[in-house]
Amino acid sequence: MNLDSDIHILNGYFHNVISLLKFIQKDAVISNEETKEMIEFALLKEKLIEETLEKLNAKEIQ
Amino acid sequence: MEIDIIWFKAKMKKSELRILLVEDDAFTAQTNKRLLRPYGAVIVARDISEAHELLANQEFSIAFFDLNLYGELDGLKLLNLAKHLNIYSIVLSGEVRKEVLEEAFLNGAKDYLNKPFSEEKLSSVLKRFFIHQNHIEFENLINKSFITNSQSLTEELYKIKNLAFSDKPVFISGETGTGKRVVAHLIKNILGNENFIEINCSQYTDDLFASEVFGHVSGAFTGAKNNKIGLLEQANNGIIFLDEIHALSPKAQKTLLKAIEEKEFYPVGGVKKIRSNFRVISATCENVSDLINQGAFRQDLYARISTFEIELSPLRKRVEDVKLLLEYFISQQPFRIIINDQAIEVLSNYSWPRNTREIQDLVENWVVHGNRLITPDVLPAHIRTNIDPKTDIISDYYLDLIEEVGLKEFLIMFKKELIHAMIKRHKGVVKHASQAMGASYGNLTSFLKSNSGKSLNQRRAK
Repeated sequence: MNLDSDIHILNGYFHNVISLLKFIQKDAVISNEETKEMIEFALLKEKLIEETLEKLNAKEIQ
Repeated sequence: MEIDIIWFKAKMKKSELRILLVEDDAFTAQTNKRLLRPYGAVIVARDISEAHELLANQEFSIAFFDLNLYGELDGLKLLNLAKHLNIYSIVLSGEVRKEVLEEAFLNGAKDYLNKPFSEEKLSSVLKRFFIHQNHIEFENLINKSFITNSQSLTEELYKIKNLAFSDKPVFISGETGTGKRVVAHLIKNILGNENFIEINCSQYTDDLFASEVFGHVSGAFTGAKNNKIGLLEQANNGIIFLDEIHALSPKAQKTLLKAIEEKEFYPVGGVKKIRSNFRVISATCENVSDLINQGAFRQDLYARISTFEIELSPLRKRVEDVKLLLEYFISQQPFRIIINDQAIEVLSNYSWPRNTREIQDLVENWVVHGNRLITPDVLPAHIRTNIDPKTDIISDYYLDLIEEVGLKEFLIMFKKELIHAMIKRHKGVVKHASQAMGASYGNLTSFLKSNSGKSLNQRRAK
Protein backbone atom coordinates (compact mmCIF):
# COMPACT_ATOMS: atom_id res chain seq x y z
CA MET A 1 0.00 0.00 0.00
CA ASN A 2 1.37 3.41 -0.90
CA LEU A 3 0.21 6.82 0.25
CA ASP A 4 -1.88 7.44 -2.91
CA SER A 5 -3.78 4.25 -2.35
CA ASP A 6 -4.30 5.06 1.34
CA ILE A 7 -5.69 8.48 0.49
CA HIS A 8 -7.93 6.93 -2.14
CA ILE A 9 -9.36 4.47 0.38
CA LEU A 10 -9.87 7.23 2.93
CA ASN A 11 -11.48 9.49 0.34
CA GLY A 12 -13.84 6.76 -0.85
CA TYR A 13 -14.82 5.79 2.68
CA PHE A 14 -15.44 9.41 3.66
CA HIS A 15 -17.58 9.95 0.59
CA ASN A 16 -19.63 6.83 1.26
CA VAL A 17 -20.20 7.77 4.90
CA ILE A 18 -21.25 11.29 3.96
CA SER A 19 -23.67 9.87 1.40
CA LEU A 20 -24.98 7.45 4.02
CA LEU A 21 -25.57 10.28 6.49
CA LYS A 22 -27.43 12.20 3.80
CA PHE A 23 -29.61 9.20 3.01
CA ILE A 24 -30.34 8.66 6.72
CA GLN A 25 -31.21 12.32 7.08
CA LYS A 26 -33.54 12.08 4.11
CA ASP A 27 -35.13 8.65 4.62
CA ALA A 28 -35.10 7.72 8.26
CA VAL A 29 -37.37 8.83 11.07
CA ILE A 30 -34.90 9.71 13.81
CA SER A 31 -36.58 9.96 17.18
CA ASN A 32 -33.56 11.21 19.08
CA GLU A 33 -33.08 14.94 18.48
CA GLU A 34 -29.43 14.72 19.53
CA THR A 35 -28.74 12.14 16.81
CA LYS A 36 -30.41 14.39 14.27
CA GLU A 37 -28.22 17.24 15.44
CA MET A 38 -25.09 15.08 15.26
CA ILE A 39 -25.82 14.17 11.65
CA GLU A 40 -26.25 17.83 10.82
CA PHE A 41 -22.91 18.65 12.48
CA ALA A 42 -21.19 15.81 10.65
CA LEU A 43 -22.52 17.04 7.31
CA LEU A 44 -21.44 20.59 8.11
CA LYS A 45 -17.84 19.32 8.15
CA GLU A 46 -18.21 17.76 4.68
CA LYS A 47 -16.59 20.64 2.79
CA LEU A 48 -13.72 20.98 5.27
CA ILE A 49 -12.86 17.27 5.16
CA GLU A 50 -13.16 17.24 1.40
CA GLU A 51 -10.65 20.08 1.12
CA THR A 52 -8.30 18.39 3.57
CA LEU A 53 -8.38 15.21 1.53
CA GLU A 54 -7.69 17.17 -1.63
CA LYS A 55 -4.65 18.74 0.03
CA LEU A 56 -3.50 15.29 1.11
CA ASN A 57 -3.96 14.10 -2.40
CA ALA A 58 -1.85 16.98 -3.68
CA LYS A 59 0.84 15.97 -1.11
CA GLU A 60 0.65 19.34 0.58
CA ILE A 61 0.36 17.53 3.89
CA GLN A 62 2.96 14.85 4.58
CA MET B 1 -29.73 18.19 -7.75
CA GLU B 2 -33.50 17.75 -7.58
CA ILE B 3 -33.91 20.15 -10.48
CA ASP B 4 -31.40 18.14 -12.50
CA ILE B 5 -33.26 14.90 -11.89
CA ILE B 6 -36.55 16.54 -12.87
CA TRP B 7 -34.90 17.98 -15.98
CA PHE B 8 -33.43 14.60 -16.83
CA LYS B 9 -36.68 12.72 -16.32
CA ALA B 10 -38.59 15.25 -18.39
CA LYS B 11 -36.14 14.76 -21.22
CA MET B 12 -36.05 10.98 -20.84
CA LYS B 13 -39.70 10.81 -21.74
CA LYS B 14 -39.56 7.28 -23.06
CA SER B 15 -38.68 4.21 -21.06
CA GLU B 16 -36.69 4.31 -17.86
CA LEU B 17 -32.94 3.99 -18.17
CA ARG B 18 -31.29 0.67 -17.41
CA ILE B 19 -27.97 1.30 -15.74
CA LEU B 20 -25.20 -1.21 -15.15
CA LEU B 21 -22.86 -0.43 -12.27
CA VAL B 22 -19.69 -2.49 -11.97
CA GLU B 23 -18.03 -1.96 -8.58
CA ASP B 24 -16.08 -4.36 -6.40
CA ASP B 25 -16.43 -2.54 -3.06
CA ALA B 26 -19.77 -3.33 -1.42
CA PHE B 27 -20.12 -0.06 0.48
CA THR B 28 -19.22 2.06 -2.59
CA ALA B 29 -21.49 -0.05 -4.82
CA GLN B 30 -24.43 0.51 -2.50
CA THR B 31 -23.72 4.24 -2.20
CA ASN B 32 -23.43 4.73 -5.93
CA LYS B 33 -26.49 2.61 -6.57
CA ARG B 34 -28.48 4.95 -4.36
CA LEU B 35 -27.03 8.00 -6.13
CA LEU B 36 -27.89 6.59 -9.54
CA ARG B 37 -31.35 5.29 -8.68
CA PRO B 38 -33.24 8.55 -9.39
CA TYR B 39 -32.13 8.23 -13.02
CA GLY B 40 -33.26 4.68 -13.69
CA ALA B 41 -33.05 1.02 -12.76
CA VAL B 42 -29.57 0.21 -11.43
CA ILE B 43 -28.18 -3.31 -11.67
CA VAL B 44 -24.92 -3.97 -9.83
CA ALA B 45 -22.15 -6.37 -10.80
CA ARG B 46 -19.44 -6.96 -8.20
CA ASP B 47 -16.85 -8.65 -10.43
CA ILE B 48 -15.93 -9.26 -14.06
CA SER B 49 -17.79 -12.55 -14.46
CA GLU B 50 -21.00 -11.13 -13.01
CA ALA B 51 -20.65 -8.12 -15.34
CA HIS B 52 -20.05 -10.43 -18.32
CA GLU B 53 -23.18 -12.38 -17.56
CA LEU B 54 -25.32 -9.28 -17.15
CA LEU B 55 -23.99 -7.72 -20.35
CA ALA B 56 -24.66 -10.96 -22.24
CA ASN B 57 -28.20 -11.43 -20.98
CA GLN B 58 -29.67 -8.00 -20.31
CA GLU B 59 -29.97 -4.72 -22.14
CA PHE B 60 -28.37 -1.55 -20.81
CA SER B 61 -28.19 1.92 -22.26
CA ILE B 62 -25.49 3.13 -19.91
CA ALA B 63 -22.80 1.47 -17.80
CA PHE B 64 -20.45 2.69 -15.07
CA PHE B 65 -17.25 0.69 -14.86
CA ASP B 66 -14.84 0.70 -11.97
CA LEU B 67 -11.56 0.04 -13.78
CA ASN B 68 -9.78 -1.59 -10.88
CA LEU B 69 -11.62 -4.75 -9.85
CA TYR B 70 -9.91 -6.68 -7.03
CA GLY B 71 -6.50 -5.28 -8.00
CA GLU B 72 -6.82 -6.06 -11.72
CA LEU B 73 -7.68 -3.61 -14.50
CA ASP B 74 -10.60 -5.80 -15.58
CA GLY B 75 -12.81 -2.77 -16.20
CA LEU B 76 -10.81 -2.17 -19.41
CA LYS B 77 -11.89 -5.53 -20.82
CA LEU B 78 -15.53 -4.82 -19.97
CA LEU B 79 -15.34 -1.49 -21.78
CA ASN B 80 -14.49 -3.29 -24.98
CA LEU B 81 -17.48 -5.58 -24.65
CA ALA B 82 -19.81 -2.68 -23.86
CA LYS B 83 -18.55 -0.84 -26.93
CA HIS B 84 -19.59 -3.73 -29.16
CA LEU B 85 -22.99 -3.77 -27.48
CA ASN B 86 -23.42 -0.04 -28.17
CA ILE B 87 -23.59 0.82 -24.48
CA TYR B 88 -22.58 4.30 -23.40
CA SER B 89 -19.73 3.61 -20.98
CA ILE B 90 -18.47 5.79 -18.17
CA VAL B 91 -15.24 5.04 -16.37
CA LEU B 92 -15.67 5.23 -12.64
CA SER B 93 -12.40 5.05 -10.91
CA GLY B 94 -9.84 6.58 -8.66
CA GLU B 95 -7.31 5.43 -11.21
CA VAL B 96 -5.80 8.57 -12.67
CA ARG B 97 -2.78 7.24 -14.54
CA LYS B 98 -2.89 8.92 -17.92
CA GLU B 99 -2.00 5.81 -19.93
CA VAL B 100 -4.78 3.79 -18.25
CA LEU B 101 -7.31 6.50 -19.01
CA GLU B 102 -6.10 6.65 -22.60
CA GLU B 103 -6.59 2.91 -22.92
CA ALA B 104 -10.05 3.21 -21.37
CA PHE B 105 -11.08 5.74 -23.99
CA LEU B 106 -9.53 3.63 -26.75
CA ASN B 107 -11.60 0.72 -25.46
CA GLY B 108 -14.79 2.71 -25.90
CA ALA B 109 -15.27 4.82 -22.75
CA LYS B 110 -17.31 7.92 -23.50
CA ASP B 111 -16.82 9.76 -20.23
CA TYR B 112 -14.92 9.70 -16.98
CA LEU B 113 -16.06 10.20 -13.43
CA ASN B 114 -13.43 10.47 -10.74
CA LYS B 115 -14.26 8.41 -7.67
CA PRO B 116 -15.60 9.42 -5.21
CA PHE B 117 -17.92 11.74 -7.08
CA SER B 118 -20.38 14.40 -6.04
CA GLU B 119 -24.04 14.35 -7.03
CA GLU B 120 -23.41 17.44 -9.19
CA LYS B 121 -20.64 15.72 -11.15
CA LEU B 122 -22.81 12.65 -11.65
CA SER B 123 -25.59 14.87 -12.90
CA SER B 124 -23.24 16.57 -15.43
CA VAL B 125 -22.05 13.20 -16.74
CA LEU B 126 -25.64 12.01 -17.17
CA LYS B 127 -26.58 15.22 -18.93
CA ARG B 128 -23.76 14.61 -21.40
CA PHE B 129 -25.06 11.07 -21.91
CA PHE B 130 -28.54 12.39 -22.55
CA ILE B 131 -27.27 14.95 -25.06
CA HIS B 132 -25.26 12.21 -26.81
CA GLN B 133 -28.32 9.94 -27.02
CA ASN B 134 -30.48 12.75 -28.31
CA HIS B 135 -27.91 13.79 -30.89
CA ILE B 136 -27.97 10.29 -32.36
CA GLU B 137 -31.77 10.33 -32.39
CA PHE B 138 -31.83 13.82 -33.94
CA GLU B 139 -29.29 12.89 -36.60
CA ASN B 140 -31.49 9.99 -37.64
CA LEU B 141 -34.49 12.28 -37.77
CA ILE B 142 -32.61 14.87 -39.85
CA ASN B 143 -31.28 12.19 -42.22
CA LYS B 144 -34.81 10.87 -42.73
CA SER B 145 -36.27 14.32 -43.37
CA PHE B 146 -33.60 15.61 -45.71
CA ILE B 147 -32.24 13.84 -48.75
CA THR B 148 -28.74 15.07 -49.34
CA ASN B 149 -25.21 13.87 -49.92
CA SER B 150 -23.84 17.35 -49.45
CA GLN B 151 -21.51 17.49 -46.48
CA SER B 152 -21.89 21.25 -46.02
CA LEU B 153 -25.69 21.06 -46.00
CA THR B 154 -25.62 18.09 -43.62
CA GLU B 155 -23.35 20.03 -41.25
CA GLU B 156 -25.69 23.00 -41.43
CA LEU B 157 -28.68 20.77 -40.69
CA TYR B 158 -26.92 19.04 -37.80
CA LYS B 159 -26.77 22.44 -36.08
CA ILE B 160 -30.46 21.86 -35.40
CA LYS B 161 -29.46 19.18 -32.86
CA ASN B 162 -28.34 21.85 -30.42
CA LEU B 163 -31.68 23.64 -30.53
CA ALA B 164 -33.23 21.16 -28.12
CA PHE B 165 -31.08 22.60 -25.37
CA SER B 166 -31.89 26.27 -25.89
CA ASP B 167 -34.94 28.43 -26.31
CA LYS B 168 -33.41 30.86 -28.78
CA PRO B 169 -35.24 32.06 -31.90
CA VAL B 170 -34.35 30.40 -35.18
CA PHE B 171 -33.99 32.06 -38.55
CA ILE B 172 -34.03 29.91 -41.67
CA SER B 173 -32.88 31.32 -44.97
CA GLY B 174 -32.81 29.68 -48.36
CA GLU B 175 -34.18 30.01 -51.84
CA THR B 176 -37.65 28.80 -52.79
CA GLY B 177 -37.91 25.03 -52.62
CA THR B 178 -34.82 24.43 -50.45
CA GLY B 179 -36.89 23.00 -47.59
CA LYS B 180 -37.34 25.83 -45.08
CA ARG B 181 -40.72 24.49 -43.98
CA VAL B 182 -39.27 21.00 -43.66
CA VAL B 183 -36.61 22.42 -41.32
CA ALA B 184 -39.22 24.29 -39.27
CA HIS B 185 -41.21 21.08 -38.81
CA LEU B 186 -38.02 19.19 -38.03
CA ILE B 187 -37.27 21.67 -35.23
CA LYS B 188 -40.79 21.16 -33.92
CA ASN B 189 -40.20 17.40 -33.84
CA ILE B 190 -36.81 17.77 -32.18
CA LEU B 191 -38.23 20.08 -29.53
CA GLY B 192 -41.10 17.65 -29.08
CA ASN B 193 -43.50 20.59 -28.96
CA GLU B 194 -46.83 19.88 -30.59
CA ASN B 195 -48.04 23.45 -30.19
CA PHE B 196 -46.81 24.66 -33.56
CA ILE B 197 -48.55 27.62 -35.18
CA GLU B 198 -47.67 28.44 -38.76
CA ILE B 199 -48.31 31.64 -40.68
CA ASN B 200 -47.25 32.79 -44.13
CA CYS B 201 -46.62 36.52 -43.73
CA SER B 202 -46.92 37.19 -47.46
CA GLN B 203 -50.63 36.37 -47.42
CA TYR B 204 -51.75 39.22 -45.19
CA THR B 205 -52.31 42.92 -45.40
CA ASP B 206 -51.21 44.97 -42.37
CA ASP B 207 -54.66 44.98 -40.78
CA LEU B 208 -55.27 41.31 -41.41
CA PHE B 209 -51.83 40.41 -40.08
CA ALA B 210 -52.45 42.32 -36.85
CA SER B 211 -55.84 40.72 -36.40
CA GLU B 212 -54.51 37.21 -37.12
CA VAL B 213 -51.35 37.47 -35.06
CA PHE B 214 -52.44 39.59 -32.10
CA GLY B 215 -56.16 38.76 -32.20
CA HIS B 216 -58.95 41.30 -31.85
CA VAL B 217 -61.78 42.19 -29.54
CA SER B 218 -65.37 42.31 -30.57
CA GLY B 219 -66.23 45.60 -32.27
CA ALA B 220 -62.59 46.45 -33.00
CA PHE B 221 -63.51 47.00 -36.66
CA THR B 222 -66.43 46.42 -38.99
CA GLY B 223 -67.14 42.70 -39.06
CA ALA B 224 -65.36 41.92 -35.78
CA LYS B 225 -68.44 40.44 -34.13
CA ASN B 226 -66.59 38.23 -31.63
CA ASN B 227 -63.30 38.23 -29.78
CA LYS B 228 -60.58 36.44 -31.71
CA ILE B 229 -57.59 34.80 -30.08
CA GLY B 230 -54.42 35.72 -31.98
CA LEU B 231 -51.83 33.24 -33.21
CA LEU B 232 -49.22 34.54 -30.75
CA GLU B 233 -51.55 33.77 -27.87
CA GLN B 234 -52.29 30.35 -29.33
CA ALA B 235 -48.54 29.74 -29.50
CA ASN B 236 -48.18 30.15 -25.74
CA ASN B 237 -45.53 27.65 -24.53
CA GLY B 238 -45.16 26.58 -28.13
CA ILE B 239 -43.69 27.70 -31.42
CA ILE B 240 -44.82 30.26 -33.96
CA PHE B 241 -43.40 29.79 -37.44
CA LEU B 242 -43.36 33.03 -39.44
CA ASP B 243 -42.77 32.01 -43.04
CA GLU B 244 -41.80 34.62 -45.65
CA ILE B 245 -41.17 37.12 -42.88
CA HIS B 246 -39.55 39.56 -45.34
CA ALA B 247 -43.03 40.26 -46.76
CA LEU B 248 -44.10 42.12 -43.63
CA SER B 249 -44.59 45.86 -43.97
CA PRO B 250 -42.43 48.20 -41.82
CA LYS B 251 -45.46 48.80 -39.59
CA ALA B 252 -46.09 45.09 -39.07
CA GLN B 253 -42.38 44.52 -38.45
CA LYS B 254 -42.40 47.16 -35.73
CA THR B 255 -45.40 45.72 -33.85
CA LEU B 256 -44.07 42.19 -34.21
CA LEU B 257 -40.65 43.20 -32.85
CA LYS B 258 -42.27 44.74 -29.77
CA ALA B 259 -44.32 41.60 -29.16
CA ILE B 260 -41.27 39.36 -29.54
CA GLU B 261 -39.18 41.51 -27.21
CA GLU B 262 -41.78 41.88 -24.50
CA LYS B 263 -43.71 38.64 -25.00
CA GLU B 264 -46.74 40.87 -24.43
CA PHE B 265 -49.11 42.59 -26.86
CA TYR B 266 -52.54 44.14 -27.22
CA PRO B 267 -55.17 42.50 -29.40
CA VAL B 268 -56.56 44.86 -32.05
CA GLY B 269 -58.98 47.21 -30.27
CA GLY B 270 -58.10 45.70 -26.89
CA VAL B 271 -57.04 47.50 -23.72
CA LYS B 272 -55.79 44.47 -21.82
CA LYS B 273 -52.31 43.16 -22.55
CA ILE B 274 -51.97 39.49 -23.43
CA ARG B 275 -48.91 37.62 -22.22
CA SER B 276 -47.61 34.67 -24.21
CA ASN B 277 -44.42 32.65 -23.96
CA PHE B 278 -43.75 31.67 -27.56
CA ARG B 279 -40.65 30.65 -29.46
CA VAL B 280 -40.14 32.21 -32.88
CA ILE B 281 -38.96 30.39 -35.97
CA SER B 282 -38.90 32.56 -39.06
CA ALA B 283 -37.95 31.95 -42.65
CA THR B 284 -37.26 33.87 -45.80
CA CYS B 285 -36.25 33.19 -49.38
CA GLU B 286 -34.84 36.69 -49.74
CA ASN B 287 -31.36 38.00 -48.98
CA VAL B 288 -32.02 39.76 -45.68
CA SER B 289 -28.78 41.76 -45.73
CA ASP B 290 -29.87 43.32 -49.01
CA LEU B 291 -33.32 44.07 -47.61
CA ILE B 292 -31.77 45.70 -44.54
CA ASN B 293 -29.48 47.81 -46.75
CA GLN B 294 -32.48 48.88 -48.81
CA GLY B 295 -34.36 49.77 -45.62
CA ALA B 296 -37.03 47.17 -46.35
CA PHE B 297 -36.32 45.04 -43.28
CA ARG B 298 -35.60 46.23 -39.76
CA GLN B 299 -32.09 45.48 -38.53
CA ASP B 300 -33.32 45.24 -34.92
CA LEU B 301 -36.01 42.70 -35.84
CA TYR B 302 -33.46 40.63 -37.72
CA ALA B 303 -31.08 40.76 -34.74
CA ARG B 304 -33.89 39.63 -32.45
CA ILE B 305 -35.06 36.67 -34.55
CA SER B 306 -31.75 35.39 -35.88
CA THR B 307 -29.88 34.27 -32.75
CA PHE B 308 -29.70 30.85 -34.32
CA GLU B 309 -29.40 30.87 -38.09
CA ILE B 310 -29.72 28.04 -40.58
CA GLU B 311 -28.86 28.65 -44.20
CA LEU B 312 -30.07 26.14 -46.75
CA SER B 313 -27.89 26.07 -49.84
CA PRO B 314 -29.55 25.98 -53.26
CA LEU B 315 -29.47 22.84 -55.35
CA ARG B 316 -27.18 24.37 -57.98
CA LYS B 317 -24.47 24.52 -55.30
CA ARG B 318 -24.82 20.83 -54.51
CA VAL B 319 -24.96 19.12 -57.88
CA GLU B 320 -24.35 15.76 -56.18
CA ASP B 321 -27.90 15.93 -54.83
CA VAL B 322 -29.65 16.23 -58.21
CA LYS B 323 -29.31 12.53 -59.08
CA LEU B 324 -30.05 11.52 -55.50
CA LEU B 325 -33.27 13.56 -55.39
CA LEU B 326 -34.36 12.32 -58.80
CA GLU B 327 -33.91 8.74 -57.62
CA TYR B 328 -35.78 9.50 -54.42
CA PHE B 329 -38.80 11.07 -56.11
CA ILE B 330 -38.85 8.33 -58.77
CA SER B 331 -38.86 5.70 -55.99
CA GLN B 332 -42.04 7.31 -54.64
CA GLN B 333 -43.87 6.80 -57.95
CA PRO B 334 -46.12 3.89 -58.86
CA PHE B 335 -43.91 2.81 -61.79
CA ARG B 336 -40.23 2.76 -62.61
CA ILE B 337 -38.74 5.62 -64.59
CA ILE B 338 -35.34 5.32 -66.24
CA ILE B 339 -33.23 8.38 -67.01
CA ASN B 340 -30.52 7.84 -69.59
CA ASP B 341 -26.99 9.18 -69.12
CA GLN B 342 -27.39 12.09 -71.55
CA ALA B 343 -30.52 13.25 -69.76
CA ILE B 344 -28.76 12.91 -66.39
CA GLU B 345 -26.00 15.15 -67.71
CA VAL B 346 -28.50 17.78 -68.87
CA LEU B 347 -30.32 17.60 -65.54
CA SER B 348 -27.06 17.91 -63.61
CA ASN B 349 -26.10 21.01 -65.54
CA TYR B 350 -29.45 22.71 -65.01
CA SER B 351 -29.55 25.43 -62.34
CA TRP B 352 -32.84 24.36 -60.65
CA PRO B 353 -34.07 27.82 -59.63
CA ARG B 354 -37.00 26.28 -57.72
CA ASN B 355 -34.68 23.73 -56.13
CA THR B 356 -35.99 20.43 -54.70
CA ARG B 357 -39.61 21.33 -55.38
CA GLU B 358 -38.79 21.69 -59.09
CA ILE B 359 -37.31 18.17 -59.22
CA GLN B 360 -40.40 16.80 -57.49
CA ASP B 361 -42.69 18.60 -59.95
CA LEU B 362 -40.66 17.36 -62.90
CA VAL B 363 -40.85 13.71 -61.80
CA GLU B 364 -44.59 14.03 -61.13
CA ASN B 365 -44.97 15.55 -64.57
CA TRP B 366 -43.26 12.50 -66.12
CA VAL B 367 -45.72 10.28 -64.28
CA VAL B 368 -48.71 12.29 -65.51
CA HIS B 369 -47.44 12.07 -69.09
CA GLY B 370 -46.52 8.40 -68.79
CA ASN B 371 -42.84 8.99 -69.55
CA ARG B 372 -40.93 5.85 -68.59
CA LEU B 373 -37.64 6.50 -70.35
CA ILE B 374 -36.24 9.97 -69.93
CA THR B 375 -33.97 11.16 -72.72
CA PRO B 376 -32.89 14.78 -73.31
CA ASP B 377 -35.69 15.36 -75.84
CA VAL B 378 -38.30 14.49 -73.18
CA LEU B 379 -36.96 17.27 -70.94
CA PRO B 380 -38.60 20.70 -71.05
CA ALA B 381 -36.83 23.23 -73.29
CA HIS B 382 -35.87 25.50 -70.40
CA ILE B 383 -33.99 22.62 -68.76
CA ARG B 384 -32.25 21.66 -71.99
CA THR B 385 -31.18 25.26 -72.52
CA ASN B 386 -30.71 25.92 -68.80
CA ILE B 387 -32.85 29.02 -68.82
CA ASP B 388 -35.18 29.74 -65.98
CA PRO B 389 -38.66 30.03 -67.57
CA LYS B 390 -39.38 32.88 -65.20
CA THR B 391 -36.42 34.85 -66.48
CA ASP B 392 -37.26 37.40 -69.17
CA ILE B 393 -35.27 36.54 -72.30
CA ILE B 394 -35.76 40.09 -73.58
CA SER B 395 -33.74 42.25 -71.26
CA ASP B 396 -34.43 45.90 -70.45
CA TYR B 397 -31.30 46.78 -72.41
CA TYR B 398 -32.88 45.55 -75.65
CA LEU B 399 -36.19 47.22 -74.91
CA ASP B 400 -34.39 50.53 -74.25
CA LEU B 401 -32.49 50.12 -77.51
CA ILE B 402 -35.67 49.47 -79.51
CA GLU B 403 -37.10 52.68 -78.07
CA GLU B 404 -33.90 54.51 -78.99
CA VAL B 405 -33.23 53.26 -82.56
CA GLY B 406 -36.60 51.84 -83.58
CA LEU B 407 -37.51 48.16 -84.16
CA LYS B 408 -36.26 48.00 -87.77
CA GLU B 409 -32.78 49.22 -86.95
CA PHE B 410 -32.65 47.05 -83.80
CA LEU B 411 -33.55 43.90 -85.74
CA ILE B 412 -30.71 44.53 -88.21
CA MET B 413 -28.22 44.90 -85.37
CA PHE B 414 -29.59 41.86 -83.57
CA LYS B 415 -29.52 39.73 -86.73
CA LYS B 416 -25.91 40.74 -87.27
CA GLU B 417 -25.02 39.77 -83.72
CA LEU B 418 -26.68 36.37 -84.13
CA ILE B 419 -24.83 35.74 -87.42
CA HIS B 420 -21.47 36.59 -85.82
CA ALA B 421 -22.25 34.32 -82.89
CA MET B 422 -23.06 31.45 -85.28
CA ILE B 423 -19.87 32.04 -87.29
CA LYS B 424 -17.93 31.92 -84.03
CA ARG B 425 -19.65 28.67 -83.06
CA HIS B 426 -18.57 27.20 -86.43
CA LYS B 427 -14.98 28.21 -85.82
CA GLY B 428 -15.07 31.15 -88.26
CA VAL B 429 -16.24 29.09 -91.25
CA VAL B 430 -19.00 31.27 -92.71
CA LYS B 431 -20.16 28.57 -95.09
CA HIS B 432 -20.83 26.13 -92.26
CA ALA B 433 -22.60 28.83 -90.24
CA SER B 434 -24.85 29.70 -93.18
CA GLN B 435 -25.72 26.02 -93.68
CA ALA B 436 -26.52 25.63 -90.00
CA MET B 437 -28.82 28.66 -90.14
CA GLY B 438 -30.51 27.53 -93.35
CA ALA B 439 -29.41 30.74 -95.08
CA SER B 440 -27.48 31.09 -98.34
CA TYR B 441 -23.81 31.98 -98.11
CA GLY B 442 -24.28 34.87 -100.57
CA ASN B 443 -27.17 36.46 -98.68
CA LEU B 444 -25.28 36.17 -95.42
CA THR B 445 -22.08 37.81 -96.63
CA SER B 446 -23.92 40.57 -98.49
CA PHE B 447 -26.01 41.29 -95.34
CA LEU B 448 -22.87 41.59 -93.25
CA LYS B 449 -21.19 43.84 -95.85
CA SER B 450 -24.12 46.20 -96.24
CA ASN B 451 -24.57 46.58 -92.49
CA SER B 452 -20.93 46.70 -91.43
CA GLY B 453 -21.34 49.82 -89.33
CA LYS B 454 -24.26 48.63 -87.27
CA SER B 455 -22.99 46.61 -84.35
CA LEU B 456 -24.93 45.83 -81.22
CA ASN B 457 -21.75 44.92 -79.42
CA GLN B 458 -20.16 48.28 -80.24
CA ARG B 459 -23.23 50.08 -78.90
CA ARG B 460 -23.17 47.96 -75.77
CA ALA B 461 -19.51 48.86 -75.23
CA LYS B 462 -20.53 52.51 -75.14
